[in-house]
Amino acid sequence: MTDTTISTTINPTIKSPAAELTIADDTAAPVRGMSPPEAVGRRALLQRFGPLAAGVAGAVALAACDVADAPFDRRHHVARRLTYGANRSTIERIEAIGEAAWLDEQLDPSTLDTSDLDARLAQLPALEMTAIELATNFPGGQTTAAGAQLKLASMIRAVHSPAQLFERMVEFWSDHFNVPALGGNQQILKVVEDRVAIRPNALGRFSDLLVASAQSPAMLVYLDNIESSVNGINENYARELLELHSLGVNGGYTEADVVATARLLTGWGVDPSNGLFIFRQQRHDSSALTIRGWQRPTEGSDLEHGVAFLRHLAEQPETAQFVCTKLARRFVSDSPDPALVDAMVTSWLANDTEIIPVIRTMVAHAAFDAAAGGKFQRPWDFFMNAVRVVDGDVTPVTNISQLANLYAILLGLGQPPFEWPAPNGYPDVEGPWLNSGSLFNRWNLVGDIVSDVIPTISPGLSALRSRLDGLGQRAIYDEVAQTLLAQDTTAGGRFVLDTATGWSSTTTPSPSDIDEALPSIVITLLASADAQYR
Amino acid sequence: MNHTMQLTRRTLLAASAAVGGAAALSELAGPSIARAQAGAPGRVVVIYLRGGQDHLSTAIPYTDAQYYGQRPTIAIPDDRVLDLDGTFGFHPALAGLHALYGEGRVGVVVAAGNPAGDRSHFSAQDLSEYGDVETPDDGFGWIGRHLLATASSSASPFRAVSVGDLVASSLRGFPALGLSTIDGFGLGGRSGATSGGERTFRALYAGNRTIEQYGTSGLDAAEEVGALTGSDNPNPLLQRVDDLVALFAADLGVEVATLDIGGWDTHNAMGDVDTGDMRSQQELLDLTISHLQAGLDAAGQSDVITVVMTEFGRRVAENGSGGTDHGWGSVMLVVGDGAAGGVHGSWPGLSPATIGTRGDVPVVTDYRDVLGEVLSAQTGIDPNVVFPGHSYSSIGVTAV
Repeated sequence: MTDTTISTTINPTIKSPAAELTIADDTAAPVRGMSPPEAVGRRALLQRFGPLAAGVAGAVALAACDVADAPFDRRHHVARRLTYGANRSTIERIEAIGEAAWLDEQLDPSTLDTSDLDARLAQLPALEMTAIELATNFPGGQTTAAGAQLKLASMIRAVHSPAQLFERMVEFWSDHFNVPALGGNQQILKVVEDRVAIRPNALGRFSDLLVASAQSPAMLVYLDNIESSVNGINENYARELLELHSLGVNGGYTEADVVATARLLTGWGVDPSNGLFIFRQQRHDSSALTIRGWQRPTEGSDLEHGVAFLRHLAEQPETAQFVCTKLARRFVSDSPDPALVDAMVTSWLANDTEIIPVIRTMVAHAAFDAAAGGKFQRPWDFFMNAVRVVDGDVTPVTNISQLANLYAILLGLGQPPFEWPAPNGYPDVEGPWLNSGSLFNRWNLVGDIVSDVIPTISPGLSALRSRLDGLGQRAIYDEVAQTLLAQDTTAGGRFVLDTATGWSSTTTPSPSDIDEALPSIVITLLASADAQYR
Repeated sequence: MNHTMQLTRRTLLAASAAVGGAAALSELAGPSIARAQAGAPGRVVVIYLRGGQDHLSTAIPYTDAQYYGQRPTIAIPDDRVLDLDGTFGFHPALAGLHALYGEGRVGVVVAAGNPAGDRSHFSAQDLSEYGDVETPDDGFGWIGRHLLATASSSASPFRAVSVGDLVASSLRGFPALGLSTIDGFGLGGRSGATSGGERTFRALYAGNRTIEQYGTSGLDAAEEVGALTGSDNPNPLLQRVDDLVALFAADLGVEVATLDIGGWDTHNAMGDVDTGDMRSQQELLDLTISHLQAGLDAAGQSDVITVVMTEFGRRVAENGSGGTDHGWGSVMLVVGDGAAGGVHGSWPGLSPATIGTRGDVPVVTDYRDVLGEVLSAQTGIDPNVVFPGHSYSSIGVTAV
């Protein structure tokens, strides 16, 4: 048996419309978890949004009014950038222990109490299985259900994990070393890769992560390195290793370097008997070679030579520049300040590719604050943020039919987790995501969350609702805007909200009025242009 | 239809979208705008084959012994190709395309691509969509430049449509419409909770920031799309094709539409003439183009021209796992009534001296000359506006 027996034929390409997890529509599935207050139904909302909406012309005249506004707040900014959503409990935690201590605990997640999260994840047994166990439990056409557990787990972690920055880094590296969980065996191998290669190194050393990725069966299969041998190389992995994982496309390597790298990494494969990495000496090309001035050592084993080259790559200034730019793009700005990237590179090179010092440098840099409110949220960011700020709940399920609605929504938004087909990961700048159709999907998503029609996701608006009785129009709007956006409403924002609620500045709504209006207030605020940014 | 007097808010917003660049581009494009306004603009569909489509499994130089020598297991036998001109033949899975070729409605441009060459998927795709050959980036895609330069000619929110989840980079710089499917487009969602909120959303997005322009033009578009019937084709790609045809047929002002077909990065298991990844990819391509052209013909939209392109072709020699690695020269297709049928462009052959140590099909015809000619033929725009830094020359792939 050769390695190719477990190979799949996934081709890295941009977004093919064929989706793997094509499962039946399941709109009749029971709604799980907490139910919204009786009157907070979508019928009430439809009535609200229908006949009212007075004086739109007046709103147009106001032009470009921000719905909400607040002076710069460092706690809020830090929470919006380093977590999946600045909900009340996050802000309160930063307030209680101070930003420095909060960042310390985020960078050492072993100190955090994850019992609630662990209980949720325990209901997704695929997460802890070996490749062989997965293949046994999810045979043939059932592998999609294994991948679905990982995909749902990433949502549960984003919403409920106290280790928020850790989860954001897992997502970052999952994009950087993108391996889609699409197609038979890749659904299984990605589950293992996430647990074995990505998560243990997400806040560790980049050089360890690079080696773990190179030896990960999911990556070996995805980029064809298992098929590359002394008898015939396959350049696919070698090229992406240099271009996407380390030096960057402008990192100063030649076509000859690509070929030499492929030769150095021949014989790296997967043992089909256990699904683990294996080095096959007989498939390896052990000839002398030079890559960008790095010379193959005369000492050590052929496998060690490949590992040494990967560690060498991780330490190159071009690699530091490339990866730090991507980190700054993810956490700070689509066009990061070169001074910020320089500082991060210095930190990288001075700390043996450790990731934590680089993050600390980034968060402490003046350019971090200067970018507040300017980063367009990717669909996943927007979704997770919306669930967190409404205090929503994600319920683990293993019955794949219950995930149909959720999956259709993620597909519509364009970012189902672990499904970008190309090796470069989902785009991380505004351009590809912002267009005249994508906004509808976001607005509709908020409506769906608030209306509690997505199985596995429940809106938790009851805490917010309990704070609104007896308040007037403006105080209600401000309380909701503070909860969702950590901002007060502007005059223009209140005008727009009035088109949804039918209220005015003199309205003091009754409890039933509030019940009826709250969903439309939440939808309007989360659908606003401001709420698309973090 | 003459849109010149419709100086609506939307037009102004669209024109102001490109801060700075707008004025310069409009100036450059002055005469072209006048030509474009002379009648309804011709329409173009750009199909991008993501991953790097193999030239030598598409337009196959089946009389060349080098081709068979370099590809011992993946070559298409010469008695199986669908002949084009005695030198090239289509892959046998491209039967529908070959029938259109027989009608004189397919121009095949061989050895085409980026003359500078780039073996990275991502920079090669970016460059070909920005309309450049090296790194300079002015923030526009080539179609975006065209649309901006002709911004005063139409106020339709449908001028540029990406049929898919993401908007193609070729449309950068212009507020393009992203539409996955007709049925999924618009307010409502699964709950219907947002369906009545149009006036609130209009008020929310009444400003003139870029995002607000997108929101407003999306709401404008939804009013029109809501009246259309979406396709229920179970094949998601063909569903998109059907929906695209419906948009054209509804006369909404669609000028350029983009569509992607993925799966072309065939590093392994390309297979032989009858089985494997290449066969299934070519079947998908054939199905898509045949379906699109039949749909356009049936809807009376035969004047639409479709261009098919990719980021690079693949290496001449097969690799160690029955596939091909990243190469250079590729095939481009121009399909429709407006195409000049036949094989176009010089073919340099596959001799060792020609393919060189890199082992590539060279690029002889600059991809910008193909795209420029099609866009110019359809809209009257000067290709030099769309491809700054390139001195355009026509290659005769459109019917005069």
